[in-house]
Amino acid sequence: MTGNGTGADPLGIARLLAISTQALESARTPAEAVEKLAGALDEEREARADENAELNRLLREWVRNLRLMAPLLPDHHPSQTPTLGPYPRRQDLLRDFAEHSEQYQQALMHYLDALTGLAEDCTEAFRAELETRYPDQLDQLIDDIAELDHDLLLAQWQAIAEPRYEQWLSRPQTQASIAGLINAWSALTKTLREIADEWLEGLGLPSSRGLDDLASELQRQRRRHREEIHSLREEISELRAALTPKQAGR
Amino acid sequence: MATKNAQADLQTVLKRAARLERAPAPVTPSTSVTETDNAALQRYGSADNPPVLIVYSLVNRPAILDLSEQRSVIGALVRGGFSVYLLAWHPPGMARRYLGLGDYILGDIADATAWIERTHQTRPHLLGICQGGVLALCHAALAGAAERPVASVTTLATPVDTASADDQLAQLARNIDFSGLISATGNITGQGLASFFAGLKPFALGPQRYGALAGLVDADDEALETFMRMERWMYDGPDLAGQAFAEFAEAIYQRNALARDELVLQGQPVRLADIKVPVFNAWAEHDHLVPPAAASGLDQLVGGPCTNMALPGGHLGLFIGAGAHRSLYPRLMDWLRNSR
Repeated sequence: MTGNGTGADPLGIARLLAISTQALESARTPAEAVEKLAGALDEEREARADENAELNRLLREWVRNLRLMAPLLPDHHPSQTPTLGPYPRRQDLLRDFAEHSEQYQQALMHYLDALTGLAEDCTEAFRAELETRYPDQLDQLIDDIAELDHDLLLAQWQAIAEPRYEQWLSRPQTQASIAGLINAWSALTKTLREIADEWLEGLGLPSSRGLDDLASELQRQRRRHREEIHSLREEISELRAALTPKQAGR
Repeated sequence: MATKNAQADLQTVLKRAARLERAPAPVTPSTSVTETDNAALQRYGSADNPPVLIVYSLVNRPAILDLSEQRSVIGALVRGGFSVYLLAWHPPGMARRYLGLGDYILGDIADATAWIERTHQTRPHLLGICQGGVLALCHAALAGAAERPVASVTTLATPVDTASADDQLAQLARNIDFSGLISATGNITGQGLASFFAGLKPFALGPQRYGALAGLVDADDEALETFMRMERWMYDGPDLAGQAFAEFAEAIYQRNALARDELVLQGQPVRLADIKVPVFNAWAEHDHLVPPAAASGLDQLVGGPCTNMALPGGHLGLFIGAGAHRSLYPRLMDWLRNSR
C-alpha cells in the first residue's frame, strides 16, 4: 500500500504500528506472533518499495532479524529446521512429538469449541422454552427449584437437546472435528509409543514394537498353516474320490 | 415431579439389580462341539435337524440372540426344528492384533461350515447378524465362486451399501485414519467402542433408559435380569482385532467395497453376484446403525433370488422385539425349510 504518510506522519509509522498490532493479535503463540509480524511488515515494505529507500532498508533489516529470532522461541515449529548430527531417528521422534502434541491440542480445542456451541444453543433454547411456559416467573422458579417437577423438566430438556445433538452430529464440520481429534490423538499416541520403545530397547527391555513384530509373524505363520492344511484336505478328498471308483470296480 | 417415592423406588430397584448375577447362564443350553482358530462352535438343539450356522458380529457378544426365553432368536430356531450352530468368537488378545477379515472368513467360517457339512452330510444355512452378515455374505460369495455353495444365506441388519447420505456411521468414519488409530491402540477395546455407540444416542441410552428403571420396582426378577443382561451386552463387548477392525471400517464404510465389488480378501475377490443360492434379507425401518438404505439393496447385488423383509423399529428390535418374534422368525423358518 502506498500513500501512507501524512503531514504529521510522513513515514506512515501509525500504519506500521496498526498492521503490527493486527498481526500480533491474530497469533496464538510467541513464535507465531513473530512470524506474523515479520510477514505483515515485509508485505507492507514491498508495497512501499518506491517510497522512502532508507525506511525500506530499515524495515528489511528488522524483518530479517525477526525471522532469525522466531526459531529461538520455544513454540517454533520444529519441522522448519533440519535434522542434524547424531541420533537422527531420536531427533525426528522428538520433533514429531512436539508437532503431534500441538496438533492434538488444536484438534481438541476445535472439538471443544464445537461442543460448547452445541451446549450454548441447547441452553438458550431451553431458557426460551421455560420463559414461554412460565412467563415472568423464571427467576422465582429457579429460586424454588426443589419444588419443580424434575421429570417434566428432564423431558423438556431432552425434547430440546436431543434433536439438536443429532443435527449437530450429522453436520460435516462436527464429523470432521471428531475425525480430526481421533486422528490427532492416534498420531500423538503412536509417537509416544515409539519414544517409549526407543528407551526400552536401549535398556535391553521388551518393547511394544518387538511384541508387534512377534504378533505379525505369528499371524503370518497361522495363515501359512491354514493354507497348507486346506490344500492337504483338498488332496485327501481328491485321492478318496479317485480311490472310490477303483474299489467299486474290484 | 420426581417424588421421594420415585427416588425410593429407584434405590430399591438398584439394590435388587446389584444382587443379581451380572453374567447369568445363557437361556438356551448349548454344547461346544469343536474349536476353530478364533472361535468355539456351539450347537443348540438336536444334531439330527437341518443345520443353521449363525455368524455373529465381531462387535458385542451374541447374548442378544438369547436374552430371554420369550425373545430368544436361538430358542425360536431350535423350537422350529433346526440344529443351530453359533461361532462364538474368542476376544483377540494383543498377540492376535493382526487378525484380518480374511482370517475370520477364509479360516473360521470356512472351517465351521466344513465341519458342519462333514457332520450333517449337508451344507448349512448361513445366518449373518449385522457385521456378521457381511462376513457371511463374503463366505457365501467365495464358496459360490468355488462351486461349494452354502444352502442359503440370511442377513439381519447387515450393512451392504454404505453410500447413502443418512448412513451416520459411514459419515463419521469417512475422515478417520483407521490404520493410524490401530497403530496407536493395537486392538480396539470393546468398552471404548460401546461408548462410541452410546454417544450416537446419549439421551435414549442415558436419562431415558435409566430413568425408566424406577418403573421396574414391582417387576419380577426376570424383568430386572433382562435389563441387566442388556446392560452387560451393551457395555461389556469384547475387544476387536485391530487389523480386522480397520479393514472393515476402511472397506465397508470408507470405500463401500462390498457393494462396489471391490473387496479382496487375501488375494481373493469377493463378488456378491457369485451368491446364487436363495437369500433372505431383513432390516429395521428405524435402524440408526444400519439404515434401510444400507441393507435393502442386497437383492440388486446377489446372483440368485432374494427375499426382502422390512420391520418397524430399531436395530435391536430385530432380535428382541415382540414384533420380530411374531412375524420375522416364523416367516424366516418357513423360508429356510423351503430353501435347499
